[in-house]
Amino acid sequence: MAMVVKKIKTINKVLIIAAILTFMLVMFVPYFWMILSSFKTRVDLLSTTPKWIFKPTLENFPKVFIEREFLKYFVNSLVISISSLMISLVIGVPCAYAISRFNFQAKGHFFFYILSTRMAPPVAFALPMYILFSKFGILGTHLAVILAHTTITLSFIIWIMKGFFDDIPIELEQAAMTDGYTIFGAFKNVILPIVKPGIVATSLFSFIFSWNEFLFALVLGGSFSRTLPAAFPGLVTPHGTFWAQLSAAGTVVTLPVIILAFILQKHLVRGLSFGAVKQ
Amino acid sequence: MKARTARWIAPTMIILFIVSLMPFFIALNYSFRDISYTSSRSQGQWVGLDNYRKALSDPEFLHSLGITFKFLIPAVLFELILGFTMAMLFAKSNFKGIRKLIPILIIPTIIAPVVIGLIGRLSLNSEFGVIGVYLRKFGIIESSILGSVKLAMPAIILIDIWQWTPFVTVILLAGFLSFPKEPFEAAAMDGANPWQTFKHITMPFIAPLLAIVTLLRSIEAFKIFDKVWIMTQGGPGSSTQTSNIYAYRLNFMHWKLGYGAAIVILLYIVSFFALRCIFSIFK
Repeated sequence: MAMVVKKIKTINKVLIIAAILTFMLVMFVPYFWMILSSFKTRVDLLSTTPKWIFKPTLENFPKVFIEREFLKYFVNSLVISISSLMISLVIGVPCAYAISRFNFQAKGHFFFYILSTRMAPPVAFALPMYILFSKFGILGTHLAVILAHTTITLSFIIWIMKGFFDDIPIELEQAAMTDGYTIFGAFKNVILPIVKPGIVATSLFSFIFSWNEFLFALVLGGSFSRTLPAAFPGLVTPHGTFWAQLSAAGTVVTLPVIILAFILQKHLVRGLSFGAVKQ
Repeated sequence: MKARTARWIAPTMIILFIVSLMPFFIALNYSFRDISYTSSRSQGQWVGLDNYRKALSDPEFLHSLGITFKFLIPAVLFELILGFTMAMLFAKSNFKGIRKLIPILIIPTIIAPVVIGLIGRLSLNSEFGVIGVYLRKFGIIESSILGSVKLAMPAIILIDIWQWTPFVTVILLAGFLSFPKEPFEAAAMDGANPWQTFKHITMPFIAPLLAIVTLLRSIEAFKIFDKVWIMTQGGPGSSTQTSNIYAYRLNFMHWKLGYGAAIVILLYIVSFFALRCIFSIFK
């Protein structure tokens, strides 16, 4: 009897591991397929029997990044993501601290409103922003896309950072203030060093959100400020789709994000669940 | 409000005023006017609620809402079921290095949705795609998947499931791994069968997390745009034209700004109510 139970347990274990491996494989293979495609010649890519083994070529990368100027879009993406992150960090972290620590009127409504800017459909803001920014005369500039992206990054930073501040006992500031610090002094010298790892993780997440964003960049950016994702539709032309070049661009645009995912390992759950699940 | 508090939150309020409040009121204002860049007659005359009345009886808008839910319901449902199952299996496997696998597992969720759309097109293409070619060989499909009125939507749902199941898995796994051991041990001692343990111990523990994941996924799925735009642009015909795609077409291709604004406000209201639900859970 004990033997049978043990055997069933072993079989169960093997089945579970097989299911997990299959799942991981299914999740990974389509992405891997795109990476392979980026190293294929046109002939290999369009082969009617999918090719797993082929002679790799690097020709697609210079084609798309130099000839089609994706290098410029890459720089634009960097500039826009980092700028909107910086703006959101400088103004959002103190705001998150205030929401966590101070009591003020309509705080709950204010907090909800901040979340709503992140959760509303981007299409709902893309049109009025288009009208507003054309009145300001900044349509098609980097600034237009940066401002649009702060709706995403700022609300994210405030939400997550409030959670980090909530985790710190208020006695710390009280002690610091009896030592003669002002509130701002206590915030700067006592609290900020404690939440530094949280700030770093939150920043990297915000960077990813802005880096991946498509609709605002497509509508509000121009040829000078186009980001990498917004440049993708340009490779689907009436004369055909440049599959290999698209794959090369896809490989490059996802690489930084995947590296960040490894760096963010410990914070992935908290970041992806918008702070709802603290781990 | 005290001056002290104001200093801390004023910069945020200024930015949100520019990027959120002003745009919202511009859209609201436009939604009561007849304004279009492509018609010389529509110069911004006040028309009251006409645009809203038109929207609620516009078959194309209602159709696009239907399409949105035809996408949202099966996609989110499958993601929850599959993600839940996988999270349980991951937790059951007792494999120590499980957290190390997470960054690889999460790839589809964390990369740009535009790239997800590209991967979808690359792998589903019936001429050379790694999935499409075999589907055709085995006679499951005859020609292009994304060009077929019948198959385009299931294909987008499939790609969405691929993209978001890892998200559900990872969040629920975090929940499973944080379970206290005692209630399960007590249940085992009392001779509870696996179904009873699942129903009376596992489910109550995981339910709040499940609710959060469901709401987050539903709000996100309601907003779907990037992937569809890259994969089908709403076609063939209007078979994958979700309401966000429809709003985009109205505003940025037909330039019917007044009517488009009314549609946009209606979409905003729907997501606002979904959001109120999630907010009460978050708190």
